[in-house]
Amino acid sequence: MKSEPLGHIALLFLAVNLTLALLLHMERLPVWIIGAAIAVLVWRYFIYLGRVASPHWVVKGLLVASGFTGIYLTYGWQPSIEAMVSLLVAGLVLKPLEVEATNESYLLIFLSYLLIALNFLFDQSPLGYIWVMAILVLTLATQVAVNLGGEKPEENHIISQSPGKIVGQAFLIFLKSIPLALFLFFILPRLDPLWSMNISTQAGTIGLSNSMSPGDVAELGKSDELAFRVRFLEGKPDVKQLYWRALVLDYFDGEQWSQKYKPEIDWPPFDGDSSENAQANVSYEIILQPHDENWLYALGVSKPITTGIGVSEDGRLVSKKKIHSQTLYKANAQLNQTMGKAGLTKKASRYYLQLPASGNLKSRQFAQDLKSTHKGSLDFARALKRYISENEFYYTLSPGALNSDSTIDEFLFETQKGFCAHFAGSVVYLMRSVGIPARVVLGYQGAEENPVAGYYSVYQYNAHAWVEIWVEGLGWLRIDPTAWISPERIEQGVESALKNEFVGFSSGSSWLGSIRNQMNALNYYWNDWMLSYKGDAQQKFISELFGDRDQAQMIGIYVACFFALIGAVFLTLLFDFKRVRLSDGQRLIKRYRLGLESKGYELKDVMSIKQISQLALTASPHLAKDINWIREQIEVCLYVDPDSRFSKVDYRKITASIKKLSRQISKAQHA
Amino acid sequence: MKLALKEKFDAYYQRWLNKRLPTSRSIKLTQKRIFIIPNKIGLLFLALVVLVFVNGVNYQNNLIFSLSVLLLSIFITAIVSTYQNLSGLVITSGHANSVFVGKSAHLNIGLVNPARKNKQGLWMGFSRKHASAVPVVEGVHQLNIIYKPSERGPFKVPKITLFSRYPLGILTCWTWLRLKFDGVAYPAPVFIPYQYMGKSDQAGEEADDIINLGIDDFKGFRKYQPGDSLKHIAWRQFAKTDVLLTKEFEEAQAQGHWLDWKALPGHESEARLQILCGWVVKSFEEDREFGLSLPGLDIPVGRGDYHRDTCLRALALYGIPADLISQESVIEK
Repeated sequence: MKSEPLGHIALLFLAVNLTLALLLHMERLPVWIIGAAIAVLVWRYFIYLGRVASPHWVVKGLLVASGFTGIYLTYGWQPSIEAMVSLLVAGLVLKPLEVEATNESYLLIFLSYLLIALNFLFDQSPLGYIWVMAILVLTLATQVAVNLGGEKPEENHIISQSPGKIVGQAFLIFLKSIPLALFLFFILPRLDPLWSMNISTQAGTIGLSNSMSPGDVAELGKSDELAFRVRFLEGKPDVKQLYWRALVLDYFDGEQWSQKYKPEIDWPPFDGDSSENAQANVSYEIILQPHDENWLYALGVSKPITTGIGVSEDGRLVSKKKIHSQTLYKANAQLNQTMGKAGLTKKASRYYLQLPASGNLKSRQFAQDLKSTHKGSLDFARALKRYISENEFYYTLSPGALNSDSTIDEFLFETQKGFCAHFAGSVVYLMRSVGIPARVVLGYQGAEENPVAGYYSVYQYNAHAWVEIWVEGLGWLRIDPTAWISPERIEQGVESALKNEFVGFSSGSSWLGSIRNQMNALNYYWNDWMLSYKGDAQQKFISELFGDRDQAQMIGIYVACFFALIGAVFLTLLFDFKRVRLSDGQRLIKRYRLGLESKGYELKDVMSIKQISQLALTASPHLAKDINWIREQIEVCLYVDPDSRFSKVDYRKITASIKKLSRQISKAQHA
Repeated sequence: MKLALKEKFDAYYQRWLNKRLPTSRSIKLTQKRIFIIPNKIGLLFLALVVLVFVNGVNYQNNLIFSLSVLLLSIFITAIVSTYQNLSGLVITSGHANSVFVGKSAHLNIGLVNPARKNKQGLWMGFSRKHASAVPVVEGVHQLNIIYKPSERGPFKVPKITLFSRYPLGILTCWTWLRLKFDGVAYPAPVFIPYQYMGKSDQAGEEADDIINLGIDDFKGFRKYQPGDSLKHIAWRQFAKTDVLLTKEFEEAQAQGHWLDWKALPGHESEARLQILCGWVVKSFEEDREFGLSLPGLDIPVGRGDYHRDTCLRALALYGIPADLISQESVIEK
């Protein structure tokens, strides 16, 4: 296959395309790659100008080697999507140095398509999608530009195409492709991956972690990133009741809480049977932001309605696969129910009573003392509540580090400043030291309503830790020790600093708030529809569209639609014949001829206006004045200035007199 | 064995192609004549679609999935667009100058685009490798393609390929043009001294003398006639009077020399034709009157461009069955 040198328009398109593909991934690329990209583009420009020679292959080799080294130094051997993107970009950036001919440029173009696709792993917003489609059209245009044939300046005969026209052609191809793409998108079943190769993103996710050391949750508290969205399908619980459970931590090593107990997970088969769920008072649907973990968020005692989700014995919802992309699931919850009413297994109670062998003696002593006066578990809890709310405990997101071996002692009796993680950890410790099974629960508390689309958003700053204790006969009860602190003791400094960051979004400024709500609503609909159009949603949509049919019928419909669409594309072939554009003069002649022919005159095809007029004259000499006038007008138009156009008024005047003429002719004929 | 099979297949393919694409002077590219197939770049593009699709499935990402079906759909649109870029085009064979075997003839080819859309990114040549770019065809476009005939006789122009990868370069759409041109390939001239076989009795030994007599013996002027040699035009008179006159020389008209097939008994017929061709060329250059005698064909003595062309044509077509020589244009609908 012959490969032609690229014309300058093609090079221009390639450069713009490369820049845009880089812009898409700007935020996750290391700085040196961006620097290298700019340097290479400038270099290539000078090669194009002819001021610099094309680099020797040794130079190219060294560049490639340093690119790989750079990526290794930045990301190490751990495969991640960022590293993959960087690798692609490095290739994309270095490639232009060698691109001279058509065939080489395709590699560049196809790499751009791939980068466009990978961008969706990071950004799935509707605006992002539109932006990406624009870049896609431009990439198509680049492909068209490359194909216009080599443009040699010395051979002027190749009409150079304006960039605008090229983009127009690309856009047309894009538009023509949309119907079939839509059809395939709606109809093609989404396969479950037969393999699991999940290279996850490195920095993409902020969220809860498997263990709780107090600093982590504080960091989350400062993030306004979205954790998930929720919509209540049935019931609308009070925001105060919204405790989204994600993790249950049972093991304390003196500093950190983590998960040691591995409760059994029950994978309920999806039966679609809602009879059991009838008692549920809340039914909700969550669109989860990817966090690369298995856990899901659940209210109270929840039962999933979506497949692939299990319920652990400690009441958490767990996904079979790690969540790498936005995911939608539904569940039913019973808010008033408690779990573990039947009793606690020996094994479980051993885990839930675990304490480190040493340390925090003061706290243990304190708990024993309190227990001696308050025998019952609930009594003990109430006493604890009283103690915390009456003493000088402060809520703050930056309490300072706890340094001693006995962090609980230090917190409870010295600093007395902390946030949810400190309070929850300490209370569980106290509970356990008097023999009450207790655990720390990590999750989110609260939600922010979007009135436009009727859903709630839960942000990272909603992250929360609380306590569950087990009471004989009642099961696991939720206790939120953070709520025990009297409101005035929440340190203003930290909180207002936090609030400052959100001032643009605060509901206080109404129009900004409403814009934010609108945007969020758009995002929500997008997520609800576009991102989660698979599985059940797809099934439902299809059966709504075509009605309930058996499989054979469905396949028939699909095949018919598919071919109809392809046929529609091919139909455009038919509409591509040159319509001969007649000048005004020619159009008038045509009219004139038609007018005469309808009155029974026979006109030859090649007759000029002169001959036609003479024929008309011999036929009806009494109309000589009109005939001559028409002839004169048409002749002026035809011969004096062929490109001239009549004004609308003149044109009408002539057509009117042609009409008049043929009327008079027919009158004469009748007479 | 394998080779034989391939040859057999090639022969079959050529026969099929010849049947499907008959030779003619004007060819309209229709679905019957246009072939389209994804090229290497196209296969790479499909691989890209699969890669994107796999990513979409792997990450259960609907947007990546949507991109993969969009790219697939673009591929299908490209089939139509690429086909459309070639279809409807009318290719006509135009003038072809007759040349000697081994010299370059310019075959004039006309492209007429009846469609609204311009035809872009076209390539034309005897093979893909030796194709050259055709400029954008808006309405009518003329171009020349160089052909070197390898044997005498009517031009047997090999198949010309017209192909395009526009707009996306992922599919190649092509056709084979078997165009008929009027040109004739003259035998390659071989120059050896004249040998004469007397057509008339005086000829033979004296012939050289007659020729040597010739040209300088000025007789007078006569009015210029088309076909007179430019060398003999009285340019000085023309400059003075604006009347074209031809200088006439004293020459033995009747004894104009004959270039005779029979004068070359020791040679094979192709060699004879080549030598005769050389003589015709030489005689024309020296501006002599000459006649040509071939078995079964005598061209009377004469001179001038037209006479030379007639003789060369006779030499080119000597021994070629008449049905292979078509003079009239056959225009296919």
